[in-house]
Amino acid sequence: MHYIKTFIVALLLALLGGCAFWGSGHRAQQNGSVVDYLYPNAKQAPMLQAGVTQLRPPVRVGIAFVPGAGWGGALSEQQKTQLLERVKASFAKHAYIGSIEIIPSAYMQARGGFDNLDQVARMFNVEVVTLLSYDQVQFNDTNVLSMLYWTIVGAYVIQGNQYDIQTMLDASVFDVKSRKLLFRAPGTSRVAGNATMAGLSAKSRAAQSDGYNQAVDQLIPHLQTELDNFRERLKGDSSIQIRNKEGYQGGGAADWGLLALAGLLAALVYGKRRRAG
Amino acid sequence: MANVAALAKRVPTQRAPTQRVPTMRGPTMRAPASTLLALAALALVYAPAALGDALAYDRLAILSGQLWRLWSGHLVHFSAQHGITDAVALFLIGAVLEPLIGTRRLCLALSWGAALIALALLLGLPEMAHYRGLSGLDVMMAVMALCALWQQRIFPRYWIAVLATLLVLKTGCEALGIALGGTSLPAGITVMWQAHALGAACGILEALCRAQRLRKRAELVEPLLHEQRDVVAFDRLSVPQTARQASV
Repeated sequence: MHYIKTFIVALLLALLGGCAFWGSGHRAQQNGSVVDYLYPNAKQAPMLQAGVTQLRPPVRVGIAFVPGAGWGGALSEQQKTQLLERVKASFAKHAYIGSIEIIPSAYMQARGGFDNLDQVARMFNVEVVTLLSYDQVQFNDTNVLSMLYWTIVGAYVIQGNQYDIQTMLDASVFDVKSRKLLFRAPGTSRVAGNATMAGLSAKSRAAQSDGYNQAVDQLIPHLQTELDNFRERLKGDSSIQIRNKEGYQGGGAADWGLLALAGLLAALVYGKRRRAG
Repeated sequence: MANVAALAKRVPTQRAPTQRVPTMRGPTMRAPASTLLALAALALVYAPAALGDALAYDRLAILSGQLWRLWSGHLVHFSAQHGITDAVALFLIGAVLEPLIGTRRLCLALSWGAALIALALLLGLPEMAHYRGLSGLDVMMAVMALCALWQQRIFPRYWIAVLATLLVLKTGCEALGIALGGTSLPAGITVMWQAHALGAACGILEALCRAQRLRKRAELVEPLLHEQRDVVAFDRLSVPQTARQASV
């Protein structure tokens, strides 16, 4: 009888220990690097191509997520499109930006390089591509409450698991023809929470999605700021020229300045005539 | 003496440019040509779109022989606001300029100025496919008005200099892409500062030609006037002698 008791206690301890072992911390990472995508076989730093980048507003822009290893678990194509739509909305309000195309992930070839970028740009008829690279790291740990998982019911009601998801998004805007990085803007987020053992998977998946959303929230104002800085930089940067698009429409318009000047001139002469007459 | 008198008759008597006094009597500022032009532009704003398309500056159409577009392109506009703004500016500037230089001279200047601006755009901006708007001519007329006011000394010259500086600054800001206020152009249409610069150049060219012509006339008339004065003086001297001879 004594041996049976000892066996049962040992079995329970082993099961408890097994739970603790099963629930011990682990790390998962999903990333898509713009460098890996554009320079897949680079053994040395890419050479900068000298030359003048010509931008012809209204510029046609494409937006895409960089394809990468480990992608697919966190965000569905639909969610990715929703995120890209939000980035698109932040670009769309500028007059010098024409059409904005969202490029689905299926068109982006992993480690495709500039050749793939050229193909995609031709396919979607865009001149500038915004590549969203990402890096999301998820840490899963257990807390002291996980001790109660051995009750079986505890695995469903006790939040003994912790997750910590850190996300970094980076929008790099490239001129496809000159292959020049025009500007970039980052967005980061951190989402942490607790979950039951049974609900960890679903909850952490939602948190991953939330992490991307929050990173985009931070990315958009940064992107606006960088866009404004880029416009300022254009005034002094001789390597980037703004040219008119082939076949553009021009208008000779008298603005308020000319109208005011004309009014002033007419008023002066009218006054003089009145005094003379 | 008869020859001199005939010659003096043939050459119209002309005051030197600085002495010329324009018709400054009464508050009326009649400008028939400018008013007609502004009204035509306004009417074309509300004309059928097909008519506007047939008159607009269209690079390919001009190159295929539709040369009237070099002139008519200035009269059509992209929107009602665009047309009204340009027409009002033209009317105001015309009301100043036309009484100063005359309707004939204004029409002559606008006829070659419009074609020259459009031709320069055709040659200098091959990427521009379409163009509409009066503002090139507005600027040309504004420059002509400032030059005429400068020559005729109607106002202190520093006023004219200030206005000219403002015009140059405005065009410079447009060239540098510095927005000075709302544009009347619809979205997607580029403001052609080049047309304004060309208009200013045409205005200066016209004023220079006019000044040159006046100088030549003055040079031609001056010796004749001297000669006429000499003849009159000789007549005055010779008349008593003739009278004396008659009495003798």
